[in-house]
Amino acid sequence: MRASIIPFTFAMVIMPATMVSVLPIGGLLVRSGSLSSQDFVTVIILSVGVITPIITLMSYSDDIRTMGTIVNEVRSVLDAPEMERPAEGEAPKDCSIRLNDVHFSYKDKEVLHGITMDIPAGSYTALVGPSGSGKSTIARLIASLWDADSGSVTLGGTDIRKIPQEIYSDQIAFVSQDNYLFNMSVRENIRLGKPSASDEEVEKAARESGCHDFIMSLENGYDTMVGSSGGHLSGGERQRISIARAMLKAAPVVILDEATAYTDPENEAVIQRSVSKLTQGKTLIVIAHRLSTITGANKIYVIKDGQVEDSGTHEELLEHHGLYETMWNLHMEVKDNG
Amino acid sequence: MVEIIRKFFAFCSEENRRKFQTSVLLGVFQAMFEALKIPAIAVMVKALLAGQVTGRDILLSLGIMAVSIAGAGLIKAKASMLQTEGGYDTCAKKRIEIAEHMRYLPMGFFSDNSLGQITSVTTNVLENLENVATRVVMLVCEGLLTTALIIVMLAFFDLRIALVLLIGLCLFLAANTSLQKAAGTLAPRKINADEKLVEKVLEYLQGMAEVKAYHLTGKKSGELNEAIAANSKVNTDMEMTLIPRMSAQSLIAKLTGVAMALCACIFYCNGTMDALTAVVMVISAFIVNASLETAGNYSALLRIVDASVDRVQEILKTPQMDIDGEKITPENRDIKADNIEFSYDLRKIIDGVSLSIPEKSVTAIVGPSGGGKTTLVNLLARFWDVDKGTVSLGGHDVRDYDMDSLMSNFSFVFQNVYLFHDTIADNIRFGQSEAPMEEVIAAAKKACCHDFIMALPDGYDTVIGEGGASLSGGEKQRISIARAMMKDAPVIFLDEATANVDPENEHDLMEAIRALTNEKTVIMIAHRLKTVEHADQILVIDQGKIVQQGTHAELLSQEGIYRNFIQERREAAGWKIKTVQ
Repeated sequence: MRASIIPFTFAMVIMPATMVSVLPIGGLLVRSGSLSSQDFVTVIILSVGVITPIITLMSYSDDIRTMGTIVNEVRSVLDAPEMERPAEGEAPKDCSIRLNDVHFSYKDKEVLHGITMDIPAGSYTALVGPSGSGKSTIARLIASLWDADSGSVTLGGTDIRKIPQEIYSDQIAFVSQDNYLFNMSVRENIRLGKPSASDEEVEKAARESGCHDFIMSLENGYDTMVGSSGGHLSGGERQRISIARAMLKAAPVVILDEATAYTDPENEAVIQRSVSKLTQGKTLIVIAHRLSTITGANKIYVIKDGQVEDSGTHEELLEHHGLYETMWNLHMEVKDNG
Repeated sequence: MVEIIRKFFAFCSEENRRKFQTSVLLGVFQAMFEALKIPAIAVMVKALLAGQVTGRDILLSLGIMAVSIAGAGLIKAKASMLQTEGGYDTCAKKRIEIAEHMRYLPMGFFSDNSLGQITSVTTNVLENLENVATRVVMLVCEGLLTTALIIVMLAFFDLRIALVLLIGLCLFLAANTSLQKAAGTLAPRKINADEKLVEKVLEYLQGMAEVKAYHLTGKKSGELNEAIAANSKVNTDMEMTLIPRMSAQSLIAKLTGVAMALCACIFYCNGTMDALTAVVMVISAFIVNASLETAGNYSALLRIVDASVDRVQEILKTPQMDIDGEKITPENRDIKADNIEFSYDLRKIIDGVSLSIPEKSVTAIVGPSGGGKTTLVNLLARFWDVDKGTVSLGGHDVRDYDMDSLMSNFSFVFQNVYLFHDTIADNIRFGQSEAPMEEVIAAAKKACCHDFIMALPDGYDTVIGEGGASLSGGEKQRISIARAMMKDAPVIFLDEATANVDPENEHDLMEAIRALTNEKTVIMIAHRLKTVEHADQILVIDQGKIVQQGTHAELLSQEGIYRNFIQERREAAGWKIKTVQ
């Protein structure tokens, strides 16, 4: 800003100061006889009149430059590639999920290097692995929040890019560490899961997710506004409300991405009990850090550095004596048995 | 108009106000230099009337104009420099002041004022001030000053014309007052609409995943579109209301010029004014028109300045906690609470709690969620003030300390760790920017961070993504422990890591906590049985009261919440998600 002041202000001063050229040059012209005195007086008056438009022009000129920058910024948002989903299409036949050699890059860095997975309908699959290994990325790809760079994700045999967004989101309930609550009442936030739900259904879902007691202790109970992005509630409370919302949604595929991370252990027991109710007969994909909670999975995928390092049931993986065994031993060491 | 300018000056800091005042004063001199064009013209016109333009006349008018431009240019450059510095510095200082102020606001503020509102004030509103305000205030001042100067100058030539101009100026100011009034009712609406828009955009973007998952595209984008439409309507209304008034104002400015020129002609014709003066008067009429219109065009924006200043002041006026206190270094770090109470809105969260925490002891706070554990810790650390009773550290009421000397006793390790968009090393150094690298590494090693930090692309110089996005929850927590390690405060407040860790992290995290809390006064919200068992004192909090108090063995022998809690913990630990095939 400072750098532009000197040229800018001189321009502001000189341009309106048309007199500096008009007076001497006009004088010379009058002397040489090519300009009459009357005309010269008129010229002087007119050149004073030109000052206003010039000032206006100058003082807005940097706004024009700002405008250019803004237009470019807006363009860069509008030009960002959109996810392509058809407006109409068939609902998938079943709820089996398949990832076929999926690659995915975040910015310029490839984080998934060819993931292939088979998740049969109605099965229970767990993803485990060190932090930053790509587990959550896989969950997001399955939830159709992001698109794979290459390879494909299919639901019931259909590539999810061919399934309309609306139909697809009916099939999936995705509960992550940081679900968003809208600034409306607790009741309406839960009801988003199923707009036709009665108040009783909402409360039932809340009870099953361990929310009912703390909701009742809020100043207006279920009608308490949650604040922008749920700011009136603690992290654990927000998480439980989003679980209640997902419960109400009753989608055939449930993805839990560290869904109880902020919940204190006292409530985790309540939630886990209801999660197992919620997920009966459904395709369940769980990302967990407490390995002891997922030992019953039909299949556990061990993800490391964006690749499937190992897979199998809990017992099989322990027999492989690999990363899973190391993680399991560490977990057992700190596990809270009282 | 003058009132708003005065208000804006009052809004600035002493130093910046002086800059603005100097630049207004410089504006007067600038106006004088610019007005030199009138004598320059007079020289030429006189020569023309004499019918003989000499080289001396040409050189003289050129000379006067050269002085005029050089003088005005230099002065304006200096004045603009002062304005710009003043403008940006004022807004930078106000932003810092707001940030500082927020540190000591009662928690109610953040729930009454939405994120959108606060964001809007610190971005939009202050941006209005730094760009619009300085330019507008200066241009308006300049326009008015130039006009005033010309009136004085004209008075020397011909009092009658000066009077015509004075009347014109009064009419112009009257029109401007009506314009200001109309803009005044609209400006707060505009700022409200801006805030609403920011809020809706934030909500839509942050909740994008939910918007997709729950078919809210129509509903939420509808709300967003509404906010956009409302914003555009307010802006259009504002222009629509202002345009006729601005035209009237500009018409008055033009008519004043016409009246001046007309009078000059009449006076010339009836012989009461000589030809030279008449021509100079006509030319002055144009100059007056230019400066009045500049002042007029920008003055409509003054209301935005007015409303923006109000909005910022409103936030700064929110009462803070009383932070004046003395610098106290307590002899010991015993913490006591004496019958403390705390309510949030109408809900009593802490209801008569008394406790005593001796130096270097470990106190575990347990109890059901929503029972008041977190609030109690916040009161002990004086994040909030108690409504009744006292909290004391080393025998002094925490309210007698000044904030910095109180906080130097405490370190915090909480669940939601916020890391700054900076290098890992600086995040650990946090608050001690001078600390040598060896100390940083030593703290990181103790907090079990060293290994994962070294595995990052640039080691300790890796810049953490906003909100610590590139690290896992457990890693973030360990960095916050390393941070606390660096600070080495005698009292540690700890919200024990819940499940927010990966399996391989959990082990390291426990190690780190052990290293941190060694030989310290520890107050922790505890979830793990192992830590609870070894605490010197366990406080069971339920419904804002201490319902049980004692060691693990004592409490286990009593009927009550604690025993049930232990029972549940054992069940939860042995629990797993069952498969249903």
